[in-house]
Amino acid sequence: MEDNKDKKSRKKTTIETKEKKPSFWSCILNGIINENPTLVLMIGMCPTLAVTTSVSNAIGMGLSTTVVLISSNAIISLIRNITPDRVRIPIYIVIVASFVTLVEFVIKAYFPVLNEALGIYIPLIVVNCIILGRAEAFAGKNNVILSIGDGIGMGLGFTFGIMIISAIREFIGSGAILGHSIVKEDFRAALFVLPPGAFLVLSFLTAIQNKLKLPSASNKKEGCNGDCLNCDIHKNDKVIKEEE
Amino acid sequence: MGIKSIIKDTLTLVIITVVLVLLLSAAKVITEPAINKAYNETKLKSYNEVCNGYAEGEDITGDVVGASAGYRASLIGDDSVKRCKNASGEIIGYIVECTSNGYGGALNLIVGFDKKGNISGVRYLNMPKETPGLGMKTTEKSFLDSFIGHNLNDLSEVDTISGATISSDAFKEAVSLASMFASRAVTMDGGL
Amino acid sequence: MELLVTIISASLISNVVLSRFLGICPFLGVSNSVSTAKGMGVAVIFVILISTAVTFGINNMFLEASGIFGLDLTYLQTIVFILVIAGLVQFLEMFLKKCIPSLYKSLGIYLPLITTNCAVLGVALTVSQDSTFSKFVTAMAYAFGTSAGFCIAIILLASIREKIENNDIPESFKGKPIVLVVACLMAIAFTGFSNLNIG
Repeated sequence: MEDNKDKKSRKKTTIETKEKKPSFWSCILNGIINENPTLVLMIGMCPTLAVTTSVSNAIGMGLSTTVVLISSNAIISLIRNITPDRVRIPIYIVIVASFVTLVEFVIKAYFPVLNEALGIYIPLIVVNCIILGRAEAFAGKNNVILSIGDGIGMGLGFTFGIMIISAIREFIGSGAILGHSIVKEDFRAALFVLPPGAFLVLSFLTAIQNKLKLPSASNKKEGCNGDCLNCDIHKNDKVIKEEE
Repeated sequence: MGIKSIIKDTLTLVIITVVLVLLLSAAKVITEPAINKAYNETKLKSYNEVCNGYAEGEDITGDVVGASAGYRASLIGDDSVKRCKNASGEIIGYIVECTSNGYGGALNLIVGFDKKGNISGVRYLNMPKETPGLGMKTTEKSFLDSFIGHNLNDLSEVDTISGATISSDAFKEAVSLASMFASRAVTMDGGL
Repeated sequence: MELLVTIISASLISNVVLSRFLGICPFLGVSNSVSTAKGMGVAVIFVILISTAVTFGINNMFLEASGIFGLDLTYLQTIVFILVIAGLVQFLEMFLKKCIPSLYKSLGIYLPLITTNCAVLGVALTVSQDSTFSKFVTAMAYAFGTSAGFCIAIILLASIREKIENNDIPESFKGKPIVLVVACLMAIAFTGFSNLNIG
């Protein structure tokens, strides 16, 4: 039963995307603007809040995630025809985890300072909802070129999103832009680089989006209810209904 | 679903996993030298920060190690106490690497001493996972530098950070253990 | 005594959600009502305790250089742990469904959501990488403290959300923004715990 339903919904999305005839560039733009994972879909919130104390950390995290996203999307799309449906999730997880470990090696070897700053959040890229979400929603159904485009778009969208948040936090909290202090110590609000500041900045960003009627998960649907594996935004109605 | 398809699914998963693990192991072998090099360079840099002019260290852990009962801190490894020499081979001080439990996990410190056993600098071996915020004050330079010039006897005069009792207590515990080893090393070398 | 310190510091002082930002997705997503929050919280405690025990064993037996392979395989931690957690959650779901249906009824729907809860993998990785938790008992105390911290935070948030549901909230703050403001205030309140003197 469940499997059938799943297959149906999968088929439906494929048809939908076929109608829109996505191209490589439209996939990239879609990730950066229409379905920006941080600002519109509001997924992958853990790193969004945790590493945005400075812009340099955010860029490091954003680019590492982008690399993992592009490579895992590419591989998952390549093997999508030989992936048995029932074990596809474990296979996705193994592929993503391998790339994360690979990226971890590279960061440790060539960017030790970044490794120090991001710490445990590097291996935790594995459970970033964006990556498994895109594998399930996009890369498992589309060809390699489009999947790479989607990876680039989503990755850059994520990077831009957390760069904006970190720029605000860094400027108000430590009075600096890209590490150069420009505001006197007396005029800094340290709260913004502390944990509460992360919630506050994100809250006001979403409120502004609501005010301007820009699309965001907050005024459309209630995000993905913590269900990262099924974080395909089109599936949301189904998930919510099931819980009720 | 037949037994056959289950076996096929499992096999696919296992094969993919094995291939990826082999690739990862290859990547590990390739990047390992670079990782070690980066690690050593960072370490050398911190050594120089806590013990100005550090060129080489001689392991003297075995000579000074002894009763450290009563301390909640401990040395990091078997080669954690070093006699430091500058480029021309003169003894310039000592370095002790020790660890203590803060509340978010271990605080791993490198403590440098001059020839007389006074602290010449304190650095983190790796950044602690303390709460960002008050606990993180123990990573600020002003706190680290407040230990400079003190030794085993007057360490209690250094102020702890109000609002971060556990972290700064753990920190002081580690520093005082380091000072204890350093003062032994000084006595051994006939300094003072 | 030391175990108590570990538990209190992991649950209150450096709360997993409010100061370490792990498990934000379910924290914001499944906190609409106290009853679902309770279910999620308990399920997380359950899974974190079991998964930490299992990954701790695997790490010491196979991955560390002192294990039976005699090789340092710690670089495989991420890939092994996430697979173990995913498998474990699946297994738990089946086991509960068959053997303890009453428990399955209350926790079942939350289990699949937990695989990608980064708090679970976060605890497993922290425990195996930090020398503080090299003993099994301290590791389990840390796991319990962390998951209890998650449980406390999500239940508190859900209670507050239920209370403010009918309040007069500015139009643009309705939905996610007000929840984030609440989380912000909770995080401020929790920083107060860092002054606890429990050494």
